[in-house]
Amino acid sequence: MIHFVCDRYSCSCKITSILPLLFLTLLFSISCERQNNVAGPRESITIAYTTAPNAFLVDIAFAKGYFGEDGLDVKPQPHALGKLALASVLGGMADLATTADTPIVLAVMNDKPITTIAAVQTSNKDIAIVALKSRGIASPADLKGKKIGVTLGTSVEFFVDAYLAAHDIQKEAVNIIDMKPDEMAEALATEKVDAVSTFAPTLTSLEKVLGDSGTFLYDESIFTESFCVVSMQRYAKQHPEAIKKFLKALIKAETLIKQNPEEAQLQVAHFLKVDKAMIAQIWPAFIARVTLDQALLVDLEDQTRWAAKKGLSARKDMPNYLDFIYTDGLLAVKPEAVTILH
Amino acid sequence: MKIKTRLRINALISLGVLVLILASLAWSYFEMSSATRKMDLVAEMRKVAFERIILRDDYILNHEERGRIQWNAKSETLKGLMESAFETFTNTEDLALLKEVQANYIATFILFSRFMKKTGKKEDNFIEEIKFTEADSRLIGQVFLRAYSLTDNINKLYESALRARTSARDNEVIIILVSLISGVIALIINSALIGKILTNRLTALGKGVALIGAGNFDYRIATEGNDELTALALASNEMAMKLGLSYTSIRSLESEIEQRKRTESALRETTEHLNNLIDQANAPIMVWDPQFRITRFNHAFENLTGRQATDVIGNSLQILFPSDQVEVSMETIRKTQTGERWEAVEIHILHIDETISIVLWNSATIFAMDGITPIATIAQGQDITNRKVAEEQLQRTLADLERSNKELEQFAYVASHDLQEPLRMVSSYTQLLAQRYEGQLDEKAKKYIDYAVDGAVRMQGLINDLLAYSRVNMQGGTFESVDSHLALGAALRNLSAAMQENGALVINDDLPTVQADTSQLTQVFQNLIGNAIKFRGTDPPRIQVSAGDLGHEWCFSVKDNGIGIDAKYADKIFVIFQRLHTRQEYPGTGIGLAICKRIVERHRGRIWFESEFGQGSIFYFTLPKC
Repeated sequence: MIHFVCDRYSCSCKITSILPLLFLTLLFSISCERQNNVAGPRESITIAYTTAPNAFLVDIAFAKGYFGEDGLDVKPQPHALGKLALASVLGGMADLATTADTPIVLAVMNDKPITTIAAVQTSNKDIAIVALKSRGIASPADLKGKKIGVTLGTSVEFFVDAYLAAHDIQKEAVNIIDMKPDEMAEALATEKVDAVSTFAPTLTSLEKVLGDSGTFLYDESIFTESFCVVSMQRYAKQHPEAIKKFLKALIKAETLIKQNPEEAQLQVAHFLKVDKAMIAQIWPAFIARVTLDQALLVDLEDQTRWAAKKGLSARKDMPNYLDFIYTDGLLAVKPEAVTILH
Repeated sequence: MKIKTRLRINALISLGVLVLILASLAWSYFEMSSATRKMDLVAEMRKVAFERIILRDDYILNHEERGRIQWNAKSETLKGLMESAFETFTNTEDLALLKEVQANYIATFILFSRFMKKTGKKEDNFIEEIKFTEADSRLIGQVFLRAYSLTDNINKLYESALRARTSARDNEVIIILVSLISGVIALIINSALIGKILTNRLTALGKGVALIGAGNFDYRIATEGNDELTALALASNEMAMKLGLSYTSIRSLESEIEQRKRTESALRETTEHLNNLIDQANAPIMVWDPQFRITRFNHAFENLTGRQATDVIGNSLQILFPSDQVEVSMETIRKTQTGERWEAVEIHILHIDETISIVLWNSATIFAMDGITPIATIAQGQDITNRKVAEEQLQRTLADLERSNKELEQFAYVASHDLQEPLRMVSSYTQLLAQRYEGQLDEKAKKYIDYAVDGAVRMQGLINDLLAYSRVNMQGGTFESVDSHLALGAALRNLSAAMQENGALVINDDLPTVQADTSQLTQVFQNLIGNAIKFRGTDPPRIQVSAGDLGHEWCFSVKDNGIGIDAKYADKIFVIFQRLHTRQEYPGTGIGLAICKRIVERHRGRIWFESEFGQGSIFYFTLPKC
């Protein structure tokens, strides 16, 4: 027979020593339970993302560690532009990339076997033309005969064309000069160009620098920019679980934005290492939501027609973009977000 | 908690559940109505948006003014619906969606208006093929894109309203279920508690009442709680206590009655026994009441008086006394009524044959509880008639004896005193005859004269002794408190020459003070110690004088180491002039111990001795303490 001897002091000692143990056990149980909720083994994934604020959901998921919670060992790979991130995926350097719609269209038109996993952010006010008043530009018509700095191969190029067309300005009436976003401020300052077209955060900083000396030409009607997550078709086929986990993490980030936008902005600013005030300023211009909708198809096809007419690719036929959109992942984790008619 | 309260709680729970369900139904009705209104509104928006798309496509294909007007009209309708929606939807997410709807609506409106303005009215040739510029295509593409977004937004809004209605319905069901389940559980628990309480308490109460009913009035029912059953238990306990008290009283009364019966029975037995004892007693016994009427009269009394008890009971005591002593006797008897208790009262009783008996009475009067009122007096008599006669005879004899002794003592005294003179004459003239005729008388005559003189001298001695013996009573002093040490000291002083001559040693213990004639006590010590010296052995005399307390008398002892006395002479040595030795062996007349005996007896004491021949002697004498 075992006799338990327990005086008051020893009992209290035992209890105090047991409590942390119980607490750890509880934490372990919760942790295990969480891990048990994640289907399949953990997977390593490299995500190429843009340092521009056009993929809030991805930024938040990185910052909050949602990918890890959902069973992904992520390796972040930052890029200044979405087309560069996409190039990393095309080059086999990353598994997923965040990029805008234009680089996707251009890749598809050049027969790159990519697929769009989801649209994660849209905006009608991300891109604008910034002109110098000193160069006599006060309205869209004043752009005629002016030099406009544009980062070609990005959504900005499409925006500028659409803007010019919408305001009956022939493309030949302006002089488009290719330049990177970080070159634009100096180009304007040195009057190398009369105007530039770009997106945040360059656009935001130019607004701040130029102030009243600048003319800012927006047109929310002519272009809906979609930021997407893409991968190689092969990868999506071979790693459907990884894609589901990835999308789950983005949906968590979407929930955080709905429930606590201040916290979400803070996390984005923290991850992108930019001023939180800047993020707060541009925040209303974006809708961060995981979707695959019919508008995306229209957008891609519209840009495809634009690219074909502009001779940006050898391909002249319209591709079936349904073949370049991977709906299984989002259908598995949030079916109501898939409104593409399928 | 009282059972009534518990039952009220049950009713309140039921009422609460009902109110909750009704409130839930009302709330859910409101919510579902609101959600339905939203759904209807959004459905209308969706319908208008769809019609607007058809009209848009109609215009794109045909560029008819009618299409433009209809499209504009539908746009206005949609705008109005959106404004209503902004007033109807309150949820943040819904409002955000609505803003997206609004943005896409505005975008489509601006874009398509721009398109319509750009393309203008087809005036001349309505069958001419319509061609689109790149800018037109771009505008149409954006219109399509925003229209899809608009439709998506409206669908999401519809889904949100649908979810709200579903949620309201689900919440209603949940609330009703939770209310019902909670209420039912609460009712079940409360009812079970009531049931348990009632069962337990009623069982205990029933058991307690049964026990009390069975006569266990000390049993107390548990009274925990403060409900009606507690009050009932308390009332039952109080009832039990009162019943117990009543029962105890009855039991006490019964016990008392039983005890009284036993007492009465015992009393009867005792009375009967006493009656028998009284009746059968040898001594005459009678009882009279405070009016001096005879109430009991036993057989011995019947014998004493020659009267039957049946004849005297109820009569006055006076009939029992000689006529000349009635008053005296009644006076004596009346004193008993004041509590006087006879120890030995002589009352003469008259026999029926006129003879009189002298009866020695003792009595006791029994009084009532107040200690004052006499109830009865019982008297027991002893017929001492014969004893009185004997006593009178004895008194007469004693008187004769005393008178005789006195006469004898007087004679002895007178004789011894009067004999002194003639004896002295005989002795003197005999001695004178011898002197006158000295030389004329022969030796024989001288020898005879010596004999005569010696005889006269001895006779004189005897007479002196006899005189002394008779003086013990004749001339004895009064008794007084005497320190025995003083008496002993006087005796020793008188014996000092003999003690010195014989080397005698006298020691004494502590001696008491006694009531005695001092000179006679000195005489007793002197005679006893003198004998001890006189009848000494070869060793110098050692004499021990002691005294012991025998309670009512002192016992003195004189112990010596002399020659001792043979026990066979115990009766002889205290007789006057009795000698155990010749005059040649030990001089003396043999009067000493006789005088001691006479002195001790005069003091109402005793004298005796213990001795063995050759072993010394111990003489004892006693003196009463008073």
